Amino acid sequence: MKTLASLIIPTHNRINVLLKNLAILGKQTYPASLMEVIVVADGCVDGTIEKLAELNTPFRLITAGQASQGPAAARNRGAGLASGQILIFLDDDIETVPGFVEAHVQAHTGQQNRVVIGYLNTVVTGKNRFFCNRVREWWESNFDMLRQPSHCWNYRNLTSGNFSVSRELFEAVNGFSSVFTCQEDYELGLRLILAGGVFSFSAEAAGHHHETADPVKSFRRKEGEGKAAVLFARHYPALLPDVLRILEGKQPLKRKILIKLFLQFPAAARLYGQYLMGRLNLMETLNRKEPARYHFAKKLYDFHFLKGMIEEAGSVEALKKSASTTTYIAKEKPAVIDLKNGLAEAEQMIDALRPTSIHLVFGKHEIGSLPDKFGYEPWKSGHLRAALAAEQFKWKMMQAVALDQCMEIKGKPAKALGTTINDSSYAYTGA
Amino acid sequence: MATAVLDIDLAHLPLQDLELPSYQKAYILIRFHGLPIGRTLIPVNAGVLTAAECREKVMNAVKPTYWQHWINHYIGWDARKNMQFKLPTATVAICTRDRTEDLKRCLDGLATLPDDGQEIVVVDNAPSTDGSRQLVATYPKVRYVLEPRPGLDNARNRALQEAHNEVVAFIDDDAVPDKNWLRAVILNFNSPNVMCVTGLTMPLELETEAQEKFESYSPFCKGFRRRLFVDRSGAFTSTGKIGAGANMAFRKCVLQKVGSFDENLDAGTPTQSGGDHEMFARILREGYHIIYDPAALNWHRHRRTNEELVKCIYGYGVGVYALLTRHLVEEREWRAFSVAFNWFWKFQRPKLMKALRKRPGAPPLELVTAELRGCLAGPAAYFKTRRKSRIAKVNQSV
Repeated sequence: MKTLASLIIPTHNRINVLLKNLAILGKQTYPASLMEVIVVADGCVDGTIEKLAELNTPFRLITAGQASQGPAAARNRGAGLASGQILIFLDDDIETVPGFVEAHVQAHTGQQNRVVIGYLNTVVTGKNRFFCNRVREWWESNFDMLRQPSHCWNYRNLTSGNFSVSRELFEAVNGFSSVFTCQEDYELGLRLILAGGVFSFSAEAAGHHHETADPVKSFRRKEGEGKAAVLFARHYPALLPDVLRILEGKQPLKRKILIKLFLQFPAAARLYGQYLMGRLNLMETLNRKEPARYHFAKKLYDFHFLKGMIEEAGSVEALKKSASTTTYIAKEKPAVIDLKNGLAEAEQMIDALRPTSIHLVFGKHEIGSLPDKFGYEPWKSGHLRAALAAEQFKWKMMQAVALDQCMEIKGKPAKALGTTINDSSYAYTGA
Repeated sequence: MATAVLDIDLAHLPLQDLELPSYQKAYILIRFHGLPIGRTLIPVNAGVLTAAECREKVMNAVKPTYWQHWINHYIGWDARKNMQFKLPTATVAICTRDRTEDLKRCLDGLATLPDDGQEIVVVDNAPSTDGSRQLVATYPKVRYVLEPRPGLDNARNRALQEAHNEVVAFIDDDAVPDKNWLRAVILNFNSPNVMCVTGLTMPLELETEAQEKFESYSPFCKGFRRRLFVDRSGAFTSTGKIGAGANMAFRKCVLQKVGSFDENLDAGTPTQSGGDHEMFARILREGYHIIYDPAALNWHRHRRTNEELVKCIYGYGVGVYALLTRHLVEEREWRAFSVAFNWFWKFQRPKLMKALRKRPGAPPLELVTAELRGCLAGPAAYFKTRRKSRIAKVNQSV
């Protein structure tokens, strides 16, 4: 292996944490001569650049400073300074395990367009233990999902804290967007998927990160996510229906009223937000039980998401107009996959075709279709069995197989099996 | 009156009539390629269960779950195996006290499990004789640990501390594991979020009336569907559906991340039970998941005599209310009141009415009253134990 890996770490006024984690990076199993670390200090006023200049590291350390422009711009800047073939993006608060760089590089061998998401172990250190635990649970559930071979990769799986991509691919999609201030990682993920990026998960490319979530920080973030949802709809009209479903579609009455309020009387909506916040603060001072606070915080999350969304959109009409009128149309006809000749054969066919949408049949019987979803990878063999085992297809599949084998299973399998069918017919259930 | 306990796989339904002399009923666990998918109780006429009748009754009993398992099998799909996670190894822990006959059966059962690098630890809890130690000495692979402080939860905590492996699977001394028990338990620890796995417990024998009564009144069986328990709101949860201490497993790190078992609860203290459920509630509140998987099967020998049975049901009543009292006192969970009331109104009251009117299929009155008596004694039992353990702690520090 002679691959040069560039680690890009944006940082913002966290020199002590950064120094500690750089020291840990010095203990990698990957040869230090094949590693370079690029730290981009984004609007740092705590002497980050000076302190890094004095630092002695086994790997090459490049430091750059810039006025405060946000992490996305810092990562682009870092990528511009990198000379390695593989770019590993890492947050400044992550403690890497010794095999971290090696695992990232390993995952890229033999695949040009690889995008590797590394595992992050959440260590709860925040004061608000209850909220931190929820965030930890979210991260673990997220990685559980990515870990499965049946996972259908999509743009929302790219999280910027720990991922790697070849420099070629990163440059081909022009790096991070400067328009998105929140969920800029998802947006990059979308362009990487559209450009044919092959996503994978690496449990070995792991780091520990300390969670210090609290409600107020999360509300600000939620507002950003609302804004980002609208930006996505504006730039990628295929995602417009998702936003419209929230603003116009079927919603619980309370939420509908809140949306109307935001659209018609923004001042009143803000007042309502202040009232919610006041009540949450009251709960905190009274030290009410956490579940009660959590339910209230959930209301506030929703409030801030809608706030961000509607502030960015202006009005529903404006949003519809600003999103370009071309709607997303499936490019190809769905591939017809027949399951009758066994699932192994069907899987081989899917892998050979890599279709964007699939029509599943079993002999003459229809099972259903796996649709073309914007921002998702094309279908592959690993998805098939999981899809068939899902509630949606299970019963149909059962019927198709049963009808095909001339069994009277419609609703009453017991009687048919118990009385009329001789023992040899059990054999195929076992085989 | 005695009930035969049978274990039948749909892939190998009996072809011949089953001779069951001296049994009036047959309690059948139904499997499909080894996985438990249902159970049924069939009357036995003149000591013979014909193959045709057995087949029909068995097939009728599993209708709703059968086809789902069938299709999973056809597709070759197992959600547990889909996670690409390095599975941990296990320590099997048996907490026991003066029950060498049962313990021997359990250890013999454990010896038949496939060897996946598990270790077996017997925690002897404040024994009155040397019997358990001598018995364990005859099993070279089994480790003996003495926990002098009485209380099942003390023994459980000790087992968690003593374990060398990442997962600690608890099995009661009066239970016997199914061959696939431990593997099925471990298969569910496929995410760092999963802190606890519980399994299905079936009756080992239903030879006496007391055992039959127990199985119909308070069965350990929590259904034949694999279930995931998550509670993101951290609200107060009733944990009865999750499982029981006879068949549960934890990550060893539960001690650091969630805490140890509450010493004031469960057998060996006045509260008599409830330690397992308190732990389940705490795990969920800390944001971890619990999985109930019927594939993790073991067999439990129920109490044989009526006195033991009544005492046991009384103990369950005490435990539930001691647990509710703990929620109320320690966590300021006011909902404990409404849980207690709902339980009484929706479950205990109808049971009591039925038992009083002596309707067919009614639960035995003495069990219903034993449970209610237990409930009434629960809060006092909790306070008593708590005071005792506080005094003990003060004495220790002095």
